[in-house]
Amino acid sequence: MNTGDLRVYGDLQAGVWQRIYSSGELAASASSITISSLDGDTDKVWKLVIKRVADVGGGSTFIKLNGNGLNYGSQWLTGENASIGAYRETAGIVLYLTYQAAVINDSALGEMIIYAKSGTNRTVINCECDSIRTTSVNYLALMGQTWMETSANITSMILTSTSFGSTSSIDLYRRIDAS
Amino acid sequence: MQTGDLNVLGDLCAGGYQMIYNQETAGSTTSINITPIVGQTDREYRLIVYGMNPLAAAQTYLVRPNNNTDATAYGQQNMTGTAAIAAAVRTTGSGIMLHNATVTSANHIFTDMTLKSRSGTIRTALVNSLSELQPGSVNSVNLAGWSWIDTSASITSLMLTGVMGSSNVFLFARKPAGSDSDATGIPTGDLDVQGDFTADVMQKVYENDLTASASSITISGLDGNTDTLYWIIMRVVSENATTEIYYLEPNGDGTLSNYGHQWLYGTNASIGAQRGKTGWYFPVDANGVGTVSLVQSLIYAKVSGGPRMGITGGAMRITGTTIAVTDIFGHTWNNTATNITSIVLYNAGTTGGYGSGSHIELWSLKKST
Repeated sequence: MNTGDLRVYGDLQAGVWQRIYSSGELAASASSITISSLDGDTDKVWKLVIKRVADVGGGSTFIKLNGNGLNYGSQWLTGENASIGAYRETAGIVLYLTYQAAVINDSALGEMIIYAKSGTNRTVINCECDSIRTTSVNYLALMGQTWMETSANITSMILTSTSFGSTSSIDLYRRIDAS
Repeated sequence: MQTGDLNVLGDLCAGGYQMIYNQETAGSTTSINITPIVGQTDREYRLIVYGMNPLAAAQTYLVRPNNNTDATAYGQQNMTGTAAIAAAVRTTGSGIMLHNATVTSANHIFTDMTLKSRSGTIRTALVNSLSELQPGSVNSVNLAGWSWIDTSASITSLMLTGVMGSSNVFLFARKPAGSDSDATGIPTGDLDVQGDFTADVMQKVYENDLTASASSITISGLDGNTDTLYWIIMRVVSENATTEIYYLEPNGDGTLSNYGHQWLYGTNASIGAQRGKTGWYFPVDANGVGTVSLVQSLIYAKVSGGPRMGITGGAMRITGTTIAVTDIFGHTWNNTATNITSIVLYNAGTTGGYGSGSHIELWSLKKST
């Protein structure tokens, strides 16, 4: 069947990305955003996109799955000016996505793929460019991350930072198959 | 509501991404202007470019919002792997580079870029790319973050510059959800598509949750010339204690020298890069029992006069909270003529490298007809 423009108010069960959370462009700064009513065991794979604008302070965006603050790990590959480096953390308390120096109006862009289904460690790949000020992109990172929790279904994620400034946006996508 | 085959000829306002431009060009072009677009309402674009340099001279390929050529308007931070050299640089420029290195004669690039397009702040972009060195070899793989300092202009076009002898350009836009005020179209609630869904979207066409270990997994029934783009995501759970190397083989082509790769990686506090012609191997090697890896790969699959190319990223050999390696690969397959009808995922070491609990998905571009 052919159709023209289609406006889907509900679930699109067609095996394609569909946004299940959008902050929109924040009208005011926030320090914590909770995305709830998730079902990682059903969705299996999520895509998270963050555009972050600093309006106060700086620091990273931290993500806690199910509000849990233990048993995270990360391996970083980073570029900062002419320096390329790597770093491993094995006793982390969060997942990381985007970083801002303490400069107002700095921007950052991050994309993250999360394998959310239980059964093994949850695993993450993300890349981000950070602390962007006019034509200076001050930091770049490619990361693998993990949450050493094999059984609990992920039903929420809590994102915190010193500030998600106004005009920041956060989108989370899943796919739903046909029945 | 259930439906059979659904062919969406207009906008799909369902809160996902939809391809809004696709142009394959066989002849030489000096520029490609994608217009009209509406950056204010689309908010986010994904630009994928496959192209070839037909000139004897080296080429730099750029994309410029609104064809803004101001040499002081763009900036980047990038990381590059070229042969055994891992490097980083911060520069300014006159456009967003589709690949960070110049591209020499008859060689190809493949680029995957995400651009945040809405005004109010500077515009930001992430670029993953690779370029050929010569047929069968990858010159470099690149990850870059870019800025365009304009905070006020609405983006109405994307201008690609640089002479391309052949090219295939895809632009996806973030589309509104049905409940968004700027959504249009025939309203519907839940939609359960039982048949083919062709709507200029990436769609999952294969999924496998392994309940027993396997050494080889064949995804068949493909048509790379029609599908054009594939995206693979897989979680690999190892049941073997021995070193494993995992390969992707279009049409089951097991001749390793037919493939080229450039690798850039970080492991603990060390970085490294490597160029090789040893198969399209995924960054999931040297596993141990119970280790987990996550890999994603975007593949240009259509016969277009050059190699098939892919960009792969991974977090590999995860044990507890320790991730052994994070990396990015550029891949080529030197077959320029044969349609891809299957993809074989294969581990070369001990039998059963894909352990129980492994999960594999293949997504394909499904164009409206």
